[in-house]
Amino acid sequence: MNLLIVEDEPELSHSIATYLFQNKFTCDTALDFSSANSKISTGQYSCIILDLSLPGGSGLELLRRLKSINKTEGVLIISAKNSLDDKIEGLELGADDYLTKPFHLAELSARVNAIIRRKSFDGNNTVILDKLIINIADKTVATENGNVELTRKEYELLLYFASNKNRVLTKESIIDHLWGNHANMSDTYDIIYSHIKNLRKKLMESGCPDYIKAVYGMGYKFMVA
Amino acid sequence: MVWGINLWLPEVVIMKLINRYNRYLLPALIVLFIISTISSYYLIKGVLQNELDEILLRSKGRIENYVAVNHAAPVISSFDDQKVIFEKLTGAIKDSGFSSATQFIPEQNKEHLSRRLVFPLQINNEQYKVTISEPLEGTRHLTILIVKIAIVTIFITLLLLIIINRRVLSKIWQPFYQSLEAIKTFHVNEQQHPQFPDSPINEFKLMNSHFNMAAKNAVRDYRNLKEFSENASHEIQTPLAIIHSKLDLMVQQENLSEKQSELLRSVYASVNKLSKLQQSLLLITKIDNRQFQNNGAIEIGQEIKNKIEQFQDLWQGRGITIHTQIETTVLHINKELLDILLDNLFANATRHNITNGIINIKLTEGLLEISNTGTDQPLDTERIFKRFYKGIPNGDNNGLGLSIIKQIAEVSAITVNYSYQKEWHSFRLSW
Repeated sequence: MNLLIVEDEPELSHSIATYLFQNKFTCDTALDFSSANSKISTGQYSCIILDLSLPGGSGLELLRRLKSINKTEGVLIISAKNSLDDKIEGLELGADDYLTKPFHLAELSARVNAIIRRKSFDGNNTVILDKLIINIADKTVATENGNVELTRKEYELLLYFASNKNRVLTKESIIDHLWGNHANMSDTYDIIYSHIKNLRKKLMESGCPDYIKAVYGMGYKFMVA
Repeated sequence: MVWGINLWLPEVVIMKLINRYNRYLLPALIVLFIISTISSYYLIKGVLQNELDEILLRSKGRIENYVAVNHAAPVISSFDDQKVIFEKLTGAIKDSGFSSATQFIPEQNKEHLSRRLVFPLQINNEQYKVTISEPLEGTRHLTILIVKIAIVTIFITLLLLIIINRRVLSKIWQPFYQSLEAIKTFHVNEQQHPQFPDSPINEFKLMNSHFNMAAKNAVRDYRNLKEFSENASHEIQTPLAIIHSKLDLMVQQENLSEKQSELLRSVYASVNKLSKLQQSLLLITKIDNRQFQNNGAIEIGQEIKNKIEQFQDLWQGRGITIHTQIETTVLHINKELLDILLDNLFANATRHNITNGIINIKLTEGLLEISNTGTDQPLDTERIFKRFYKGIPNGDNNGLGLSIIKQIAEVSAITVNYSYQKEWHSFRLSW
């Protein structure tokens, strides 16, 4: 799948491209307004990652042009401006999601995946992850042996892994993904641990291999071929 | 300022300007009245004496005319107060001219002060000494009258001063007190500029223009500072995002040694903390700048129930029990701020709780009370809402949570109170 990264900071743009490339995305990058503008009008992308402050123009203006030429690409805004007005304006102009800098690349990947899933017109609401079939619409998970009963947090955790397979997910990134801003608490690591433990147990009981590997000190990795 | 003066100079009696002014003015006025009374007494007395002397001189002229025509002394009518005495002169006249003397008036049986004119007169080759005297009766009455007038004038003046002070001056000083009130209620972070009343009085005009200038400068400096901190936060955001993304990539490296992993983990955790801190600071700046519009009435009972749902597994993990008493009630607040407010309140009650502790959440009309079990030490009520206050040193707590709570409460017209009772820490939000 093809992505366009519109971000004026080359280092950040490069990081995003590298991470998403490892997640089987091909990435095109634009560092300023005019190159972004020409790429938007000619290219075909599954999702556009858009920074709002660009040399030569505003990301919001790009968004307006994109909608005016009836492009249906998903748009994820990444911005340093955490202002509510920008957020609202961006979403009103047709952006699909908004992520404030700094962010975890894993979180970005999860958001991009979610946008692409939502935008896919083939009516396919399932994500296949090796032996697992995740139904996005019903929020259910099944294997060939039937449904796996997961709690809401376990389900969210699995979906997060699905967007970042074979990548190390740091504990911090998992906490931020599952609990958002308020999880700034020392013992949330223990809760992560117990959620991972339960998820692993449930998946193995359903006949799956031991997908989740602990990476020493760092976090966890969902290993699939 | 008044308190400052009181503090440093307790012996100085603080009084109103007008009272201090009167303290100098009134004695000066009284002295002035006494001086003017005395001098008017002497002046009027002098005038009257001159008048009497004129009368005496006229009488002298009449007597001399009579003698020149009739060559005999005139017969003096005694109906008048004026007395004329003819005495045959044996030697030279000693006491000619005007003089004052006391004279006995037999009809009144009283001694009276009188004015005398003595002069020599020749009648038929005989030398006479003529004495004309006129009583100074009016002068005594005059003295009494002048003293009476002086006393009455002093009293009327004092009375007038009091009335003027009470009525007129308090009215004149009104713009002064209005200006003081305006400057007292003025906060640099308010969008509205203080309104000073218009006054035709020069001093007040000057004061108001200076107040205005000071307020403008303060607002401008504050705004610059705010812009600076907001810009600084934004500028930090991009490099932080780059560091964050590079670390995310580095974590993916397969062949890290244990030592490298250890270092990387430590850097990662710190950068993560820095990002959180930066976002909190930015949030505070935004609340300060009133960038959140009030969304109007929100039924917060349901919002709290949703938030409890979100925290449920965090609480379960720590064995914390929740007791709730939630009524349906509305609060006028920005929806996003409400979410942040509840996040921080709940996180605070969780973070500082004990294992197997309790959190009580009570929502009634106009009051939200969240209490939790915790340390047996009350928090420092003076400082808890200050930025970076940390009750207990805690690596994962950036000390901004309570400050954010306070800030949100301030812009949403909510009062926050903290209280401690027997290992129970309570935060009460009332509106």
